Amino acid sequence: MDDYAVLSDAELAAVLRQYNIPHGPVVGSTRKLYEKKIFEYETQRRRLSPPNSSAFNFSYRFSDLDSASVDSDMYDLPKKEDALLYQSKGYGDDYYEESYLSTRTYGDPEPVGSSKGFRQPSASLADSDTFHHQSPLPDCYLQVRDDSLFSSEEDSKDRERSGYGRDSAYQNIVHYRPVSNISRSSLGLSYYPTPSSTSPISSSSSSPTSWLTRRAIRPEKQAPGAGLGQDRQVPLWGQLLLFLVFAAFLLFVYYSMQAEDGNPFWTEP
Amino acid sequence: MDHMSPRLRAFLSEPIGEKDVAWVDGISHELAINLVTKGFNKAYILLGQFLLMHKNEAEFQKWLICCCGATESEAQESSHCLKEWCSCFL
Repeated sequence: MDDYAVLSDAELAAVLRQYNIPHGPVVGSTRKLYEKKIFEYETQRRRLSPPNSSAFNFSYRFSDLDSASVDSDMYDLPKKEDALLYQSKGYGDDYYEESYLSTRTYGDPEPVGSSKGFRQPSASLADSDTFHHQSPLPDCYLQVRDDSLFSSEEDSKDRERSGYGRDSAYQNIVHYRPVSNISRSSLGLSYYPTPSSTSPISSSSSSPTSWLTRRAIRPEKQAPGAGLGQDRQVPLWGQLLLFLVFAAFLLFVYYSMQAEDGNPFWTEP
Repeated sequence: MDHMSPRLRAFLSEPIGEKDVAWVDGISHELAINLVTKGFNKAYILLGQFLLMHKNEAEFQKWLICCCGATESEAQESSHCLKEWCSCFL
């Protein structure tokens, strides 16, 4: 399962799409879930069919190696998903190179295209730039993805090691927002307006202190309020008791008043 | 409208604003701490995560269980809560 950590987010998304696993954007927070999903899918598939030959893998890798001048040890891991990706589409290095130019032949041109650009963050972006010019995909789209995913790819790797920091999670979501808008998912468009629409509403909500006080009460109330309604300050039996005491007091006053026939005021001669 | 827990009703009765993640129905105290350490300190961030998963309750539950250490019932309640919120306000 750790093999998937070397895949960039775009590559992970490509694999998910290839396996027809319904998924959302691969962000720092969702990455672990999708890695796990791919792992489960692959273990399930391995049980059904024998593993594909990895020889095709290396031909694909070395073509990329030549063009992107990447470290070869990064690609020594036999990636079955990539083998399947290019096996179904065609064979050979030439086809791989061709595929960047004729993206129509691919079902998913975007991740393949950007996967080349993101394969090695240390490699110059010039390679991906030349690729941009060749592909029919809009340059601005790839540029945006390039810039955003390039920085967030490293972020996602750091995040995997050190746990999810709030800033990086925010940054990643912010970076992926323009990507998700352009991606095929129509729901991506709704992501961005939603948080912005709630922010003006927050100014009209009650003051922060009331939330804080309520938050302080809430966790404490969980234990003592167990078994009873969570909204009660005084327990139910206490309320009934108080009610009976008050009723008894009122009855006492009523009957004591009834006994007096005359003037309630003391008339002291 | 089926019977809602008071917490769910409170969550749905007003804008999500700057509520802490503990306000979401189904989020226990321990789960809230886990989420806050992961950076999900506000309810709208968790909502964002829910939206990232295409408002798919099952996916969101899986994520909550696997990545945040929630129980099944917690995941179900919180995904239901966020789904209801989305149907009311989105």
